Amino acid sequence: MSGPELAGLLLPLGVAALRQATPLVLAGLGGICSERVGIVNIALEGMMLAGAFTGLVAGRLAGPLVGVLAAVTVGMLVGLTHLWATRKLRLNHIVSGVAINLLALHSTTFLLRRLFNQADPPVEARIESMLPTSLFTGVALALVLVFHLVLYYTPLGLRIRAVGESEASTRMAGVDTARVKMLGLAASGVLAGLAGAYLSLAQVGRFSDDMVSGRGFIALAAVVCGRWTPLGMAAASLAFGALDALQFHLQGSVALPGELLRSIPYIATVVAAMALRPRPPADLGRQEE
Amino acid sequence: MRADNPPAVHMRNITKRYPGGVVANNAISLTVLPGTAHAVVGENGAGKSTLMGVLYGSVRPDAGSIEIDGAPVTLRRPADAIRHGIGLVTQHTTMIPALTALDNVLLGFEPVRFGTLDRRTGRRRVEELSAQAGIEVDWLASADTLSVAALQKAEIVKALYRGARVLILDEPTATLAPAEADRLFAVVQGIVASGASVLFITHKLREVLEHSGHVTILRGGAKTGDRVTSETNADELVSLMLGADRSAVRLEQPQRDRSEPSDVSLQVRALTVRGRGGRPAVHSADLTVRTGEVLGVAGVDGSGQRELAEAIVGLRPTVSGSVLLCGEDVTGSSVAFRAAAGIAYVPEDRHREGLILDFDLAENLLLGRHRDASAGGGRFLQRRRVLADAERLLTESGVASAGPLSPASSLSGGNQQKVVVARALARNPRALVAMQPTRGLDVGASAAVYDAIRAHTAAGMGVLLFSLDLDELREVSDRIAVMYNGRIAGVLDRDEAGVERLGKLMTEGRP
Repeated sequence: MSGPELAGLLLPLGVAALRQATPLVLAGLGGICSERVGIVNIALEGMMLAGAFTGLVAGRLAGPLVGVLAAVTVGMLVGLTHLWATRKLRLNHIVSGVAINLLALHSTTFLLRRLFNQADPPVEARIESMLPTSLFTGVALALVLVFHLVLYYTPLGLRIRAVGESEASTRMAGVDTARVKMLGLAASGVLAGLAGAYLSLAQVGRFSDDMVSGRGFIALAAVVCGRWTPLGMAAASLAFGALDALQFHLQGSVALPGELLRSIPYIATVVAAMALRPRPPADLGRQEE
Repeated sequence: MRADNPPAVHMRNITKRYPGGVVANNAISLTVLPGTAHAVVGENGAGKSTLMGVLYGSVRPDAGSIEIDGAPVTLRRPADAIRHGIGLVTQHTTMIPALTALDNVLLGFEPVRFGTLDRRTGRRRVEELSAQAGIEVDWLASADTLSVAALQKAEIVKALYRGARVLILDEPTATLAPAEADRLFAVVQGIVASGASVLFITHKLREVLEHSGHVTILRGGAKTGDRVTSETNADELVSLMLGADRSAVRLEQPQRDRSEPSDVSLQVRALTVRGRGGRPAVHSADLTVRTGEVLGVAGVDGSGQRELAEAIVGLRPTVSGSVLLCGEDVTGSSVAFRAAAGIAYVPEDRHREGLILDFDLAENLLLGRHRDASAGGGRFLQRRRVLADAERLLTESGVASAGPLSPASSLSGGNQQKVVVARALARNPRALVAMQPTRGLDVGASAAVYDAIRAHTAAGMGVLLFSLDLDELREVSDRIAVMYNGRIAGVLDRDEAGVERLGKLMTEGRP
């Protein structure tokens, strides 16, 4: 295979991989923000869905940039709701996450029908003016570096890591841990909301039922495989994106059932999470006494 | 003290009641002068840690006030106390294992340069402080690679870094080897010489006498004395700590013919056991409990009692030596085997180890006896039998409850302990290992617990009774063994076991 030929094959694959990885990286950063302050966050899925829907609705009314703003605002509110449920109501983190996911799924499904008055499936809402995916991809990759620097080279980052390891010890050291957690969950929601906005406003330009379809969970898996570090999570997200792009490319050219090919990235994720056996933050999921 | 030189700390009438009614601090006042080492002594549960928690803002008192350098302060959280110059080194480290020692020290008080964490400045300051205090720590090492002693030194620097003028050390030598403890007190003297105050909690009288200028003695949540250390002595401290003058209900001991050699119930031969962190906690202990006898074990808290008890019942592996029940070696056997063979256990902490508070009484009484005939004896529990059995045990042991289906958490402490003891005795054991079975109980409940135990000793059960209360031990034991630093320092007959003699064995390890 000649050089130009190889480039001609790899370039579209790389672009596709980045397109697939972008929402995972954004939501994954959100997962890190939450789990590093000790709150298990399977609600990423619901936050993304809420962000995708709000972004599209607000985008249709006032333009896509306003849509993004609305998406991150709603994401932040959902993030703070998760904190409130786990901390003040003392709900189990998984239970709260499941509740948020169900609520997001069914309220967006309901509102989609109400607002756009389309009763028969397939139900979807479209937007004409879309944002370029490369904008989100650039922001996502830049944020990975920013988060790496914040987490390891700033006072705030030290406090965030400390709270996730031991909230009690951190409080004894004189840190206002409630503030750190609030900041973490707000940021978590903002990033997941942004990931949702990417899906509806940049990648496909429409909202349909359950359009996040598990990306929130894959983002969380990337967080785990990346050992709760921004760089590791980004690498895991890109690997997933690349596998996904590759399996799409292979559809039709390989004598394997499409279902099997499509499941390859997911199987790889499970295998990676088991093989790496990463150590979570020590206080992750702990309910305060 | 001059009038213009107010006390570094003045706590007035501090009272703290925990949910459940335990009064941990009852109107305790404490004055610490600047530039002194001040010891706070008392046995477990005397309220020392609670009092220090109040001063550090981590425990909210129900009543009382605090002044620091003469000015009234309100301490709602540790950050408040730190701002007022209070530092705390807790008994169990608060250093976060995943972070470096340096990051642990800087956490919350980080030096900043261009918005980033300025570790270089922080490290210079930390090394300066540690050099002044005579402390050496590998600051860039991850905290989980540091020894207990190094962590503690790092914690002291952490407090000094936060500008502590009053440094609280909660049982600082509990996990240190003797040489490390000496080095620690050298650091303490240096801090005191610099004009700051050190408040240290301990129950080791030698440390009080050698290293403190003043001492406050607590017992059962109340203050029993304040002394200038040079004007007191070990005997006075022991009696203030243990309340040797306390008038307690006398428990009648059945007379036995001592000349008659009775059989051996439980025997421990040259037993060596490791404690927390792998350090030897019990060294080559020898004990023999005869049938029908109560052998008391005295000793200051943390002398190896818990490890010895756990090794006997099988909860903790032994390094060497053996445990014999009625002559049969059970050293390597499981807890269940030993329990079935006839070793019963009343653990120290009834809430954590004795009961499952959310379970009902029938279930709690069933724990460990779930394969017995009283539970059905087969693969399935027979609810009717379990309930009938629980009903019988509750009645027999006089537990005041709303029946076998009420949760264990609904009972008072005394009744909870009756349940624990009733379960231990339900299988008619041949030996009973009891850790402070009347801790926190009033006189009536204590008597009920000992009545139940005595009914079984009369039938030949041997009892190994661990207690921190010398009066109790002298009332109910036939003989008293004294543990000191993990060794059996001596075994005295009840007639020769005076408080002074026991106290000396407990604190010095020799008669």
